[in-house]
Amino acid sequence: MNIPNTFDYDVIVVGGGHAGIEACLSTARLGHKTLLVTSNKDRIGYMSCNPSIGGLAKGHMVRELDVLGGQMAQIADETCIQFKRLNSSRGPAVRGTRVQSDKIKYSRRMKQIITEQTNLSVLESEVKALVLEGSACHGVILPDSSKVLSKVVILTTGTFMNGVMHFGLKQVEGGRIGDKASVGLSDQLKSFGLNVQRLKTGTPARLQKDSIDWSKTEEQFGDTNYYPFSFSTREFPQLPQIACYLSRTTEETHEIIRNNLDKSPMFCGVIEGVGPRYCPSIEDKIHRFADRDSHQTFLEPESLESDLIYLQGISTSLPEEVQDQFLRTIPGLENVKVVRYGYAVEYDYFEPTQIEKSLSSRAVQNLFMAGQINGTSGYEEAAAQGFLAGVNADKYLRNLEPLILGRELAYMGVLVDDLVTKGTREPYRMFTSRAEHRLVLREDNTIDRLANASLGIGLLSEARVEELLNVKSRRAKLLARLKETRITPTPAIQARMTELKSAALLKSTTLEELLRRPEISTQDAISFLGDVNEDPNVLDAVEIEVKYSGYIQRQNELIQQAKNLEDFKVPTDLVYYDVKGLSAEECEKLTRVKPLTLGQAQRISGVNPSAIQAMIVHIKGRKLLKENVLGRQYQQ
Amino acid sequence: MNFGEGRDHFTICSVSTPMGYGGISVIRVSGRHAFEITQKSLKKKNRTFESHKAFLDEFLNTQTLKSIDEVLVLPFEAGKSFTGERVVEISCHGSPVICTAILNELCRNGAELAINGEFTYRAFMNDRLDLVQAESILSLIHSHSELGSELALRQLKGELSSKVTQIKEDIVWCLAHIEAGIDFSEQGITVVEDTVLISKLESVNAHFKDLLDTFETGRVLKDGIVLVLSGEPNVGKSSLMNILLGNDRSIVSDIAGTTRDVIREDLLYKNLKFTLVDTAGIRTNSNDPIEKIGVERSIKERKDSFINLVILDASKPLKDQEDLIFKDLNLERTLFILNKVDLLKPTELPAKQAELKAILGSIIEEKPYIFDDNSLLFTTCKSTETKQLVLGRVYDYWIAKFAHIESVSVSSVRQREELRQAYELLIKVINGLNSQLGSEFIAFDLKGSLMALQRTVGEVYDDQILDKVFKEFCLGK
Repeated sequence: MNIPNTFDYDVIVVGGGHAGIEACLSTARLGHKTLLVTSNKDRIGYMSCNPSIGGLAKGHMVRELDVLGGQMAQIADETCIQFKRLNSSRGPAVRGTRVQSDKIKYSRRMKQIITEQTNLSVLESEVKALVLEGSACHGVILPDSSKVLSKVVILTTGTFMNGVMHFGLKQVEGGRIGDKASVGLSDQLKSFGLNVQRLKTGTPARLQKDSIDWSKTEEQFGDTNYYPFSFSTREFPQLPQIACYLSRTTEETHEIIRNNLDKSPMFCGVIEGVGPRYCPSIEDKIHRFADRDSHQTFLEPESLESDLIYLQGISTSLPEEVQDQFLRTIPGLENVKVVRYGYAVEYDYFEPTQIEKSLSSRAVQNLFMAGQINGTSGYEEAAAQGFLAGVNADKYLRNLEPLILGRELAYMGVLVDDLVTKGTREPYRMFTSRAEHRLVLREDNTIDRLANASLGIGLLSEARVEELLNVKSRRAKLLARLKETRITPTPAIQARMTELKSAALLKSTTLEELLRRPEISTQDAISFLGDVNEDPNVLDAVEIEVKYSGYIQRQNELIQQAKNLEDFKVPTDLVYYDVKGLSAEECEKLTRVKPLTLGQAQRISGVNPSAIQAMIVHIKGRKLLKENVLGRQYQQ
Repeated sequence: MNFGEGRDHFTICSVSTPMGYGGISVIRVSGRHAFEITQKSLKKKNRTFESHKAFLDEFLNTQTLKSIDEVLVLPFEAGKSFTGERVVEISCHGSPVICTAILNELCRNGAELAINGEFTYRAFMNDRLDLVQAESILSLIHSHSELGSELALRQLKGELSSKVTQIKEDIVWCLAHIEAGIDFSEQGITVVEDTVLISKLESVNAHFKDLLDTFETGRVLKDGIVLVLSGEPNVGKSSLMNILLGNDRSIVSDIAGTTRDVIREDLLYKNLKFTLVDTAGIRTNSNDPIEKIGVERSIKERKDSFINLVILDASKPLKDQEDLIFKDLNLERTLFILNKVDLLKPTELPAKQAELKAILGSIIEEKPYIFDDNSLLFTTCKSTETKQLVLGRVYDYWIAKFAHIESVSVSSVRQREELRQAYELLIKVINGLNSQLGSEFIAFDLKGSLMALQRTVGEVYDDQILDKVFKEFCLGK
């Protein structure tokens, strides 16, 4: 078969999880005829593990998605049943929004949106293989061997590729309870030379609500100062807010688990895949931190419409009877009824250094990859990639430059750069500490950071663009007014200073300078302007920008410095084996990653500073050589 | 950096031996066109430049076609030279006139004069040296004593790096705890208390301070001790200087005010370089404008000196000395020399000492004033033992008060500046912790400190923090 003359679709998205949703919605909305293939329509947007969206660094990404035109933020807002702003007592850059979402409503709403989306069809089926012609992908092959042709395929198959679930030493094929594994796809790509590895993740038991003695747990409510994810959300929260419940493991729990470690697939070598270090199973925690006699767990209702309770922090792959045993030693769970036992899943992922920053495959043309198959974990990480894959599929189809967000611009940019540059050996989760320019990547300034990029994507409606630019310009205007308005030490002003519990003015001062005083809020500062009536959306951002301007400025200087290396382009045809002074390991890594800039090269683990020096010398030397060839002869 | 960007394609040249008269001088040419540029001025045309094969030739002035000197030319092929580039070493007769003429010629042929350190910089850029090694070589070249060479060699061996590594580990530990506190705050893990961080960082800072203090030792070993002689006119400063130098460098006469400007001389004593600075006599009643300027300079020199030698005339009442003599003196760095004791009886000496103490006690504002007997010396320019006496005392004084010879020293200004930055950021971190600043700002400063530290030893920041977090904490919801 040669390149097909006609295609059934512009884009086929394989997988209806959080990555797939964002991918198919963005291509459909950008005008491409799109097909979503999912093995189970009712599991579109399903939260396979914890029932929450956001968190530290993850909340940042949800907001970024919202400004860029993704879907996740609005639906998380709509279905919020508990709201929390994490780290609210710490500095402004590391505050993160997290909502607990009603997982039934969330999934239902996502399915509805996808069903109603024009340009988008859904096919309930499996993908057995890709239609590959040479090194190009032209569609997918279904179980009945029929082909569906498309110009681009986006793979977002999550944990389903060669997925194996472990319940103790019992193994069941599948990527999630009740769903089949997808077999064949990764073998096909492996035969194409792609490096495929195994990862592992796990989930805790789901409990029957009325079998729990709640009196032995500690009730925990969310925050009541609400900040929705989406800048377009007006009514928030819309649903009744619920509490979660705190309990702890006991010595007895630990004893039972210790005695049964031989039945844990993780501990007897059955599972080869690498699990997330930041989210270990309970048996892992007890084994590694033997000195701790208790671990906390949150009991979280999954939905207003169901009686299922998610047992946060106790993911396990021990056999069902052991789970029954140890769960009953946790206060409140003495008579607990388990609806679904915890289990571990092992699955295939593709080493992400094999994709471009656009998330397109290097080896296979017309193929994009997003989500867990790139080695990440988390709904937000998946959604961010799915969205970028969709947007870049659009760019690709229209022959435009891909959208690559810088590390100084968005956590989404950090995510992609980390994956493509460093690769990962464990499920990759975003942390604020992964972002070296963290002070400028805040939730409050998401609009300021990404408005321009968003306009370049073109996914926001006209009304939303106007709203976006409106917020941005109101912030800029307020900031300008604070900078140019001066107050002088008149008796009236000094009296007002006393009222604000702030020291008297010594000289004429701008309101911006005044706002730098720790005890002065933006509200206080604008009270001198008289006529300003702004919402917190504008005030908070301006306050942070002013109060921490010293730090923000230093961060910007560092960004500028980093830019020098970031602007130093590495020729794409550079043969690393020709570069003098590189170790064999460095050569191998650089050749694999093919960094676009020296900045990216520097972030590859195992590439030393001396290698960067060697590259500078080599690249400059090449340039000189080229200049000489072009006739710029040595001057007499 | 001055060199680097924009200069990389230049072929550079400079005199690699000290400028001055001597047996021979060596001029080094480095760069892609080193061979061609040299060839242009050689008498014999179309020579083949073979690596590591020296040949004799005449170096010509290409405009007059006259020979400048007979030279020995030693070419090095790229990759086999110090800088990694093509290099030519031209040995000529040791005269500044010849060297300058050859350099002029090379520049006319297309070379550029090298900036200080540029050869070493190129060696570094071409991966012939790492950063600390490059600096050590610069130190070796500039070191003026055996101790200084030893220090440079120690750095080549990496002692500073290992000391910095210890400090770095502590900072990484603190940073990991702060980061864990940020990214895993909701997981109920016990992250360290601020007070623990503060006490840990304070002890790190004490190490830092020690390291920074060694900078001065390092610099003395490299640059020598600057010794400034000051005092009223005609108390014998210049005579003393001559004795110390063992020759007649300063013009000596009985007329007060003979030395009108500052005179510097170097000497080697116990393998340490001393730079002696003879200054104009300090007096206030001079009408000579030139002498007045000289007096101002003397005062300034004293401020910049490492150790001051204040010379007093023991044969006259000390209270008659100008007040200016004792003004703005850093007593910790001052030795008083009571000169011309040959005019006194030995029994009068204790009284003189008491007299000096009394004067200093009345002038020095810091109370209580304690006079250090070691900082007083009786001398006469008539004795040959005076040199031994003065330099020996200065040396002992330096060893006792300022030298950290056994400890690792920081001798390059760059290292000192990076370390100082790391140190100051750490103080900022401690203040931030005390005032409950947002954790991400504290982490920002701490990371800044870590990065400055890593720059000191030529490393860059990497992902070690997260790995540390995962290793140390029980995480997971």
